[in-house]
Amino acid sequence: MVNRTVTKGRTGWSQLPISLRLGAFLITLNILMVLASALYPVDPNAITPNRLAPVFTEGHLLGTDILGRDTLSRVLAGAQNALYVGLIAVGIGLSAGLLLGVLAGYFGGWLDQVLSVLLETLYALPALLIALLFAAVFSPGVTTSMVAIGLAAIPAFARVARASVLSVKTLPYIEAARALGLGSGQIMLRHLLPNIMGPLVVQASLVFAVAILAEAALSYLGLGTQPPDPSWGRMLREAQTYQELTPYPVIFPGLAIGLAVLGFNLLGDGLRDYLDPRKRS
Amino acid sequence: MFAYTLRRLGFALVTLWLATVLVFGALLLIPGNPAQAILGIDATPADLEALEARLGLDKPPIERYFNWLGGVLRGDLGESIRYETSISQLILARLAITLPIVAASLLLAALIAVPLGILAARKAGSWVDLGVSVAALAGIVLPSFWVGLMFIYIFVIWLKLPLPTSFPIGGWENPERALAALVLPVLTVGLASAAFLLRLVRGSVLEVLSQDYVRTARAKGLSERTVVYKHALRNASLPVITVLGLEFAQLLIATVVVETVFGIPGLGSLSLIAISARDFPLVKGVVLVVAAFIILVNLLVDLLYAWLDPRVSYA
Repeated sequence: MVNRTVTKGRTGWSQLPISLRLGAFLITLNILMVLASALYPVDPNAITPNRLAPVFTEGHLLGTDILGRDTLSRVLAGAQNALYVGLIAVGIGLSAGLLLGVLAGYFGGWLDQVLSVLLETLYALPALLIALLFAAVFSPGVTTSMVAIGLAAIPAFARVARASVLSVKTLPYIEAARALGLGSGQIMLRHLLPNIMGPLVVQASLVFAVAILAEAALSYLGLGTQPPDPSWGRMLREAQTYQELTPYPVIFPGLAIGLAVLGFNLLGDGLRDYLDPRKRS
Repeated sequence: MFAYTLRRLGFALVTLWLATVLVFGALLLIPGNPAQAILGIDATPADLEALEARLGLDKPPIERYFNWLGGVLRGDLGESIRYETSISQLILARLAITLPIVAASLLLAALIAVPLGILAARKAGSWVDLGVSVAALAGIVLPSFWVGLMFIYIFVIWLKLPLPTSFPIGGWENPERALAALVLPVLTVGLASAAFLLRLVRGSVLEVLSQDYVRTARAKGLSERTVVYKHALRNASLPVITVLGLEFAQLLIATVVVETVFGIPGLGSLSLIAISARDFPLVKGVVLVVAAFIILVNLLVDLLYAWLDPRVSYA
């Protein structure tokens, strides 16, 4: 993986793994949904007298909910919320996990052991459990859930970073850098980091998918995004109460979650295949 | 093996202790006075003082931690503020509902995932494989609570099957109704777990089938059935056992969402009540019990793995 740049350059879009292409397509779709949400003329929170309109109603392509709010504009606005939460959660998990993993892997010894035990403990606590604990301590809300999901993702990033550092740090070019008199900080920043980013990007894509699912679950439980802000999980919670009247307000937010999660899952899987030298030849 | 067991046990104990510190420490972070947070802003000073004394807030945090830890070690998690009863009893009563759901879901998941996973691996690259893999992917990316809502719509609202969508008030006193109420939740949780498991079974069988000893077994004329079931499956089952164990622990808390969909008063809904009522001792109790379950299952899975796989040396 270290001399990846040598073989790069001749791979076109059509030679990339199918999952990578499909994942990239779905994520682009999600970003387009965010853009569409900004351009779409109907306010996602506007209450109208046209309640429980079915799909393909004029002016309400995906129908309306019990308050007469437009389902399409709420699903589009939900995309923005999902990407925002995913981005922050991955940002927290990646930055803290990277730092801890690189330190543990590079220095080894007692620091590695202490960090490993701490991270294993955190790993034993599922994201949802941490989020519940956070919701109890601080008030439930989108910030609380993002921080909790990000915190829960730290061990996964730290593991990948540590393992990658361990496999790279004994390579001759690191020894050469050390022999040249470079300090630990410089070696880690300039020589280790660029060479361990591949697996971390894969992990980031997979965690992004988990974060979207977790935020939806928390909002469904009433612990994530608070009303009236549109969030896919929140929409499902509200639509459940009048599910026997119309299924559409339940169907579309769920499909939106599924497509977004699928996009990041496929991107992660595809990137892993692409970066794996055994599968590339 | 003995040394490894001891070391692994010690590690589990340290993790468990750290979990108690983490849970206790997290609740120290509550902004302001916890008694005020529980009672609200219009509480009288006398009520506040009484609750502070009950929560032990007049003592320093270290002393409170060790009092709590001492209770935990004796199996006493304290008293719930909302229910005014023993937290251990509350949790046990809820586990009597959540544990059967988790166990039945995992059984269902294994019954679906193992045969289908083997089939997909044996016919790798075929339409059968593609179909199974796409179904598994759908099970992974679709949120379980949405699938649960869809099941309610399809089976209860549309097909009008006589399935209750809430758990009977008396719990297991009415076993038939209770079991009927658990059909859809188990189906929902089971299918979601089956999806994860299926990908794993397919992957590990596929990997094992490409090994030299499988080629040898084929070369000496054994039937494909013997090769797959006698030789390949035994080795492919190791990662599957690991993941089944890990899923069990994860599901204890993951079912909270599905419990909400189907109105089931399990451990998950207890934690939600604890949070909304700001019943901090109960929150601590539930989180600690779930964390302890996870740490225990992780320990058992690791030991089982070392015992089952003679190639792995942990000396």
